[in-house]
Amino acid sequence: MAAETGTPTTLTLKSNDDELFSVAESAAILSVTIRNMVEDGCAGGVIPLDNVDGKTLASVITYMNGISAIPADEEKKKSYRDKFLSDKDFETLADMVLAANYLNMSCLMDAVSAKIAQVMEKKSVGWVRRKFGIENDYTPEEEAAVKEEHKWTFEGVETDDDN
Amino acid sequence: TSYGRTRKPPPPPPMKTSKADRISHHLPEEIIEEILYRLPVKSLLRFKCVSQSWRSLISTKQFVETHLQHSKKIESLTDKRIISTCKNSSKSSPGRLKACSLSSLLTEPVTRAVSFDFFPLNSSRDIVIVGSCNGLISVLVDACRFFLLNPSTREFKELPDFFTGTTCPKNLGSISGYGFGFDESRCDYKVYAVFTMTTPYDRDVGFPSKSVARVYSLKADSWGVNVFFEDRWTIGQGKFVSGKLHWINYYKTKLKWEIVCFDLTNESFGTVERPSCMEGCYIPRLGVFKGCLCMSFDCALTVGSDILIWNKYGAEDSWSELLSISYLSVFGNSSFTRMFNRVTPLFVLPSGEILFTSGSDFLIYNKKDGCVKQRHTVDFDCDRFREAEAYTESLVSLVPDNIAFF
Repeated sequence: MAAETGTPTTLTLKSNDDELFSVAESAAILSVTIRNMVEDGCAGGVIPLDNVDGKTLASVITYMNGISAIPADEEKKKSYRDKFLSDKDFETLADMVLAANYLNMSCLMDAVSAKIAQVMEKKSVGWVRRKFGIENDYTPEEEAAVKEEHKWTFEGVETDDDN
Repeated sequence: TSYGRTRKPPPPPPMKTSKADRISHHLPEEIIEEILYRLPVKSLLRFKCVSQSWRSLISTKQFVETHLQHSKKIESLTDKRIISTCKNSSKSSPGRLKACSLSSLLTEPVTRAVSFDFFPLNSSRDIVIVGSCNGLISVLVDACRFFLLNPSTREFKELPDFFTGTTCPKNLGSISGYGFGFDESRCDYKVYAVFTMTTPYDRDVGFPSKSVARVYSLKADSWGVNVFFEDRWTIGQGKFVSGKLHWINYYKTKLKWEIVCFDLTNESFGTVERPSCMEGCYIPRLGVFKGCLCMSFDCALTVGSDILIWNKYGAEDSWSELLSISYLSVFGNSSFTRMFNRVTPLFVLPSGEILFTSGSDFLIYNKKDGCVKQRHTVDFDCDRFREAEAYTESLVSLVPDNIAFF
């Protein structure tokens, strides 16, 4: 109805820590998860997003508003995405990629995955284990053997700064 | 137990959970995979050390294929490299095969080329590129030894001797044509090579009486039976497009040319319809650009080159002009020497600009304003002419069991 009369519809999204956010429907439906809820008529009241915290959701909404304000110009959208992600640290990016996955936003998912890869590219094995919380399950001998096999790939690795 | 008595849930970790711990509980494997697909080969090889499960993930066929698909996308400039053979006869340069990164060529003021030091025959005097496909490169060393390399993983292997099992008189002829590509139906990489007894450039003599074409299969790790060789010349590097290798076949006596092809799947020859607008044109050169066959013509009127691209393989009317460069207008007085240089388009940038080589130079052409910018490189040791092509970095292995493909 609202769309027919030209009034922009606003949705209310709720994060898993009970923060409420208002966002234009036209921007929010970049998320396929939200679009499906809207189409199923579940968007009347508050849309609960159980897997996203308030801080991350605020960031995602900034992105939704920013990207939907750009007309169909892939290059401009790309440079907006690059700028949007440029100052985010690893932990924030990890939260974003989870949110993008849950909200089914392929363009954000692509961009954040690529950004995380870019951050990881020159990092050490130890840095990756710490950031991804991965346990080293090699014996020292096994690890030395795997390392020896690809020794040259350890050239040019950045010193860990844990950022 | 104590839990049962107090009816409390298990206590939380004593300290505030560190962020890394929290993330490890959250990032599911499919998201980690999505991230890893976007890493360069060098990082992935290093990260095989992270854990046993990362190592086995990165080694699976499925991972190698999906990673390659991501890298092949035009936007993934960091996964693209340019390989070049150096033809500097005056210096004894240590290494004929050189490569540089495409993104460096586009953005850095000066791009440094690196030698293929991992390849022991890199300093051989005579190395030609047989072809490249999915990150693998085939080279022919000293006109008789074939190799396959993956420069991104630094794997290489020498193919079995071409002449073993043939009656080719090795000293009375030469390997005159070759090509490298992928046989999709068998998921196999193949090298094509033809041995000719008469000199391949002496076309008036007629068709060679003794030509033998053979096809090497990586899966079988052997050269197949001799392919019956029809009256066709396949000279130099065949261009791999749409499962077939392509050459220009020129009949000097009839003053006509045609495009011949060799299908790597059924291992047979054929011809390709050429565009009707090309009737009466000079003999073109073939190339591959954006996965499409293209033809470049020298144009005497403008002292330049015109390049046509076949946008849809097999569709007769899908040829279009890719670029037309007039050296007189672009390079002014120095254009005379450029007349003799081949123009080879290498890569189209996301902006639509085209990277190409001419002589020993790398140039970027902007179709909109017709401008050509020269890119500066060092250590290519190339004074006159280069053979160059773009390739995508990949994890594709040369061990037959692990062959990845599309």
